[in-house]
Amino acid sequence: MAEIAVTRELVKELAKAARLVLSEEETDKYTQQLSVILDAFKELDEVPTDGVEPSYHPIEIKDSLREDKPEKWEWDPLANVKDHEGKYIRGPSIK
Amino acid sequence: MNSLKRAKELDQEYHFMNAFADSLDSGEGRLKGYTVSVKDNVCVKGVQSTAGSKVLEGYVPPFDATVIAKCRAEGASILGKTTQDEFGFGTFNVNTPFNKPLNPHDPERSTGGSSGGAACITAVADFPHLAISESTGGSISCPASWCGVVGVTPTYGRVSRWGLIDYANSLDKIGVMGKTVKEAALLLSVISGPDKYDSTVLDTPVPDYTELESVEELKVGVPKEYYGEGINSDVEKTIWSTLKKLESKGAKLIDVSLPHTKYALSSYYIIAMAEASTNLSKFSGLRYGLQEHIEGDFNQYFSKIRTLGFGDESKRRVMLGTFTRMAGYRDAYYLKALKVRTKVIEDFKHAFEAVDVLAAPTMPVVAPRFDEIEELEPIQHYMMDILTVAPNLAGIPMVSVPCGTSEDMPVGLHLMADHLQEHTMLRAAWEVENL
Amino acid sequence: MKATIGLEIHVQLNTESKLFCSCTTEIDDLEPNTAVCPICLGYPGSKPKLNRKAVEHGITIGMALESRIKPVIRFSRKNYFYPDMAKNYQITQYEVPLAEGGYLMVGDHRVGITRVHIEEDPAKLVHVGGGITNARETLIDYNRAGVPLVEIVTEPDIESTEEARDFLKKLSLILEHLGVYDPSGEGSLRVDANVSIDGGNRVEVKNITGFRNVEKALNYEVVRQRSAVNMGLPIVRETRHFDAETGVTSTLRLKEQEEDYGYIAEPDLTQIHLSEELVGGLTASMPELPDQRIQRLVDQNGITRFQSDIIVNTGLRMSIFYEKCCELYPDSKTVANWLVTYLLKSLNYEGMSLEESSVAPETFTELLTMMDDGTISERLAKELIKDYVKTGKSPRKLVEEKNLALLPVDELRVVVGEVVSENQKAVDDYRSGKTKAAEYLIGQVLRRVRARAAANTVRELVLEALKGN
Repeated sequence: MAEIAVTRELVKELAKAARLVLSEEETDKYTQQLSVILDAFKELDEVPTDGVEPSYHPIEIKDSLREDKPEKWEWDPLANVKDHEGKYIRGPSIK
Repeated sequence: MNSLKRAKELDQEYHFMNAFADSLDSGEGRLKGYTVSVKDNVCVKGVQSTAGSKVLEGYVPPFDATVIAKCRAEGASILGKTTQDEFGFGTFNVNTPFNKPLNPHDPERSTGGSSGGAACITAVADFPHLAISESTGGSISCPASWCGVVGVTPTYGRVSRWGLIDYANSLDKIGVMGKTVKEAALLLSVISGPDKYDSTVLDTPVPDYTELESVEELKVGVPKEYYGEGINSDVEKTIWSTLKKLESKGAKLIDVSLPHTKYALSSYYIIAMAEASTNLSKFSGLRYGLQEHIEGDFNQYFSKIRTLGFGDESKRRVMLGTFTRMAGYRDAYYLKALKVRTKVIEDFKHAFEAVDVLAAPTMPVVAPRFDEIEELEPIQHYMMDILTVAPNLAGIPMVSVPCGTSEDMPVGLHLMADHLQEHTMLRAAWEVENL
Repeated sequence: MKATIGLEIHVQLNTESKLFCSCTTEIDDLEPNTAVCPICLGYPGSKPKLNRKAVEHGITIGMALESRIKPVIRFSRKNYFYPDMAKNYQITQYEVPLAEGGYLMVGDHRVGITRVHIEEDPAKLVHVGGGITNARETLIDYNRAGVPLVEIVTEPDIESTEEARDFLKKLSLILEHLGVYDPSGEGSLRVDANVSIDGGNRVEVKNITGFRNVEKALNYEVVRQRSAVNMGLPIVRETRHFDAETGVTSTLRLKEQEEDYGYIAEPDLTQIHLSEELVGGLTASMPELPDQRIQRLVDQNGITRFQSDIIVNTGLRMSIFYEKCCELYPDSKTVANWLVTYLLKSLNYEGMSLEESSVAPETFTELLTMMDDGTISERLAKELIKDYVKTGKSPRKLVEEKNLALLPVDELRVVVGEVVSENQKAVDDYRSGKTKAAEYLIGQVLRRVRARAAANTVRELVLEALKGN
């Protein structure tokens, strides 16, 4: 595990990547908290894992597939949408 | 008695509910006569489901979770949505803008979390009631033990997750709570089994878990890493006293070791946060949930919604989760954690070659006071899970059964079994109940 | 200056339902947001369930491109925020794609295929009040969200825009033959192209629809880069957008701003084992590929490679059309001749594809039969084919309508007689040894009867008349 310095810059980068707006105080707070937490995670370095397969699930699950048959969901997809134009859902611009 | 009316009265005092159903339907079946409360992250059609988050305030799902459909088919009345930590992120049910439930044994203490509401109502309901709950790292066991009720977390994949608002998809399990082992087993029997909408559900046949009887010469493993340092000595005393009683009834206590236990916490949190941080991406103010007037570009709009809608802990976990899967760190954190998970699972598999169940305290302490909780740093919240994360990470079934008190607060005994051995552990729990 | 081009092709599979839910994929004529469900709309609590047919199509495509199929595949979450993303992550295949290490021959040149994988299509965005870079707002239609895509990534082996175009045409033809994709579907083939000049910086041109636009976009981009180099200007590593209307590529975003996708394994899906039996079975039942068909038509039908090439490369429907015609008409060489030389020419002239026209094997072969039974001459047939293609009316009908049938010999003799008697001078010239005068008379008869007589027949009758007189 690389030595990771949890800096304010890193926290700002993470916030941006996660689409969160943080105040300066919050950035400070999270920098300190994340630093402590990520530091604690470093203990995993102590575990030898060469040749160990990752467990994406905790138990073996049979291949799960679906037959190619169309089925219609009877519902109103716009019922929970606040802003729609006709049947289109309005979204923010992409400029 | 009108259960709905009674539940609302109790809720005034204990604050366990986020939303009530308008009325109680009932029908025929194994759950006839029961009201079922549902953790707020399990979707109930027509009833607000928030998963404890402002970003879903007012959201009314257009479909039932599979477990709800199964309950309805067996005649249960759906009572309402129990409060929880936002998206399951918490151990004290304080991480939510909605109701923070009070521990029925001491209103100045936490119920535990994240299924605090479920444990609370289970403890105080004086009408036939069962709770649908959910666990990712211990969210059923913790509040069950702190509120003095039975909480069952089944094997990962035993119960369909269709309709469960995800925390961490490879760790989430829908489970049950009840006042007794038999009642909990009843609900578990109803909700378990295959479902075409969930790819990770197991198709193993579901036995009748209510067939409870003693296990001949029950072999109880005592994992040394779950005792001693870090565990409140009085809690441990209560646990040992229960184990000795079991022994006197014919059970064999066997020392075992789960050497990777201490690493389970980091492994769990890394995987859970990596998955959670992607699950929460969908909450960005479009199609459902919190929506605002659309203005600005899409990054601005998404950021506005998420900043407004997510609580402190959610923001922390989303950022941490984003970090653990970032290029450059992914191998060292996300992939490493997945490999350590393999070692944790191996520990359990090895132990179960020699024993039927493992026994340990569910939590290292009894329910803490709210003012104590306020002093804690985030990392200390996480550390509270040290005894529950490993079995949750391994996806093995577990049950917390009340086994006494310490400082006048309930203590739970945690019984864990191998994958798909729910019936074994429930029988052991039933035995404990009958001591 | 040598161009280096790599392509990322997204193909919409023609499965009946979407990749992770059972919503229909027949969305072309639907109102927005009507072929949607909680899964493809990314509702909380929804979970994906993988479409078996999409996996099978992916395997077939991988095999057709000579790739190695992975024995176990897994899906990943590719994380980025965008209004067309129902979950703000796309379920795709990052670590373990379906197939790797294949190739496709374009002429004699081998274009490597890096990988073939499956992923879900995002929603469709309608930009209101502007284009992609400056619209006021966006309207979202999720009908397309979740449609299965196969992504095919080439090595940067393509060396010209013509080769890129040929590659795509061949790929499209193969996919059409495999029956996994509908080339007429709106946006069924989309391309991202990576272009560099002389080993310089790589520029990505994103989301080009259809291979005609790909050729245009690449031409523009290569010229743009060459001009920049000639003027001593730097080529910036960036992502550009191609405007089909203006034919111009423009900056979308600089590469430095690109996000980290933060991939994780998709925990709501299981891994999928692709057994040797499964792959073997799919390979055995794989439809005939274009190259195989070209060879077979040469071997079986005795046509030339040139003709076979044209028939097959025009498209699957043309191949099927040709073979159906050969079922109805015994001489497959004649069919090929008339199809390649005249029918295709007329279709091109009318700007129609075979599918767009009303041409059918029954009516096309009718034309050939009519020549055989003497109803029309070859010359007339060549004329008739144009009307046939334009109107789709059966040739027999056209001939009736326009009264174009060949004149019976008696009637023709009458006309010959008339012409001869009207042109005494020519007759005299011929008799005095000017054989050319006969040609004049023949010409006059042909003019009068237009296409209703074969030139040979007229010649015979005129000479007969001249002899007689």
